[in-house]
Amino acid sequence: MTSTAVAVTGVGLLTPAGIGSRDTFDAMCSGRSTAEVDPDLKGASVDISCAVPDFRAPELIGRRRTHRMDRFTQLAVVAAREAVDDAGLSTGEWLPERVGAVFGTATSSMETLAVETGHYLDGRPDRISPMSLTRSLPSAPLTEVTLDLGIRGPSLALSTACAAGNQALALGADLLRSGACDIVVAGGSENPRTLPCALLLDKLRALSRRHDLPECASRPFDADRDGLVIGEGAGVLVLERLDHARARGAAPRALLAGHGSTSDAHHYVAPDPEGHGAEAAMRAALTNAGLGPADIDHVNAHATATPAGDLAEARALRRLFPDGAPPVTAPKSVIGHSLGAAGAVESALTVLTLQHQRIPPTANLDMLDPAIDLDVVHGRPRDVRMRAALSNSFAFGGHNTVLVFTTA
Amino acid sequence: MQGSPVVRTFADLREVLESRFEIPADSVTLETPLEKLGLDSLELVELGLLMEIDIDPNDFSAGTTIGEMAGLMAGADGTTLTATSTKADRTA
Repeated sequence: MTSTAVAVTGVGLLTPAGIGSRDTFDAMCSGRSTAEVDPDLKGASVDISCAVPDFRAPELIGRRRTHRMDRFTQLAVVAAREAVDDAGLSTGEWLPERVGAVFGTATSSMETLAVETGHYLDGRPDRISPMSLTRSLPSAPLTEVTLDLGIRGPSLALSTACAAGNQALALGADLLRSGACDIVVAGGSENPRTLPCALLLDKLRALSRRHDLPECASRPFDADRDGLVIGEGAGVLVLERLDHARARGAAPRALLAGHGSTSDAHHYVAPDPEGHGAEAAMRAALTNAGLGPADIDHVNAHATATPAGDLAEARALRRLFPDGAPPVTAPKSVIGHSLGAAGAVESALTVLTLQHQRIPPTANLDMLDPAIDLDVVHGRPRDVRMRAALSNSFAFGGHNTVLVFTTA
Repeated sequence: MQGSPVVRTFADLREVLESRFEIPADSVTLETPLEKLGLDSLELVELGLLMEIDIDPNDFSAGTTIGEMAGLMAGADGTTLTATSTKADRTA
């Protein structure tokens, strides 16, 4: 493994805050939650979510191809197209064997499995679509993106719960550092806005029960937080060896300077209360980047708004930054938790934060939890001079991955 | 001939090919070979699902025409394909 610098040359985002990275970042800076009652979750014990607004896949992908994809794959394909376009790349101009793809997702396609199994249970197995298997695989986004973009290098799919998006980016960086690729299209996508997913998450008591005020439901670090709000989305970055980017005249948006991953080995869903695994992942990422805590100017927190998760992350941050953590923001307050996509979405937001030198605010922070000693940006965006930032992902099962981004 | 099972099946086929597979109906004639539609094996099975016919892609060659397929689907010659139910509740 060499120390090859990894540039972020393209960003693609589809989130409840908007279609496209520009709309998303602008809406993030408004600091208003996008959560609302979701007709697709009618009948579920918790029926609120954050949905990508006006996402019309057939118009973007075509009816024929849309039908072959579940929504989490449709989101990935459109986000990947934006990222590649943003990077100024044309599929006819790259060496396809030198381009890789890495995608993460957590639940993949609970919806298709439920619908198609329903046909069987209804005595109509003849109605099971032949597209169902390929639609529902965790590798489906990877398949469609490589088909769509003509990528012929390594392709890898990850499913490590809510760390999958960040792990995909980390693995993408390693493919570049190892010399296996010149370019990697990497990210995550998820559509948890399905009855099976909402029902199963609620059985864990992970979801906020604020049905009556959905826009106030996702409140990371707030004293009255009571759980996460599910959200859908996709985040994709074009990662490229810095020398390769420079050779073609591309201007990097940021550098992916390092990454670190650890495992809690603590519990199926509960985080280590002290956040030791999270802290170790942050330290590993800093070491990998050749930086120290004092170099970090901002933290894009995992902060799902669960009582235990936010407290554990806050404790880890306080130990990492004993003199006070740099300004922190919690995007899930605005766009909900997109599980396997979240890390990639939030890393994309971190890239944009560094590029714009502007930290989007955390929504619904009315009263900081007295047990949490952090400078959480809220109310309005904060313009700060920043050189480096962390993007945290701490998943169910204790899978932790942290990325370090620096300005280009 | 108009209103015969084969003609009705052909009309349904054209409708499904356009609505699901984005193949313009006016580009499909009785003589159009399957190969020209560009459907892969999964899409052929999906086409059968939408037509409420159990299709085995191996029953067709690249040169099989839409008219021949419609004939088989309509049971005109009573060979490989048989309708498994009406298509009244078909959802495209």
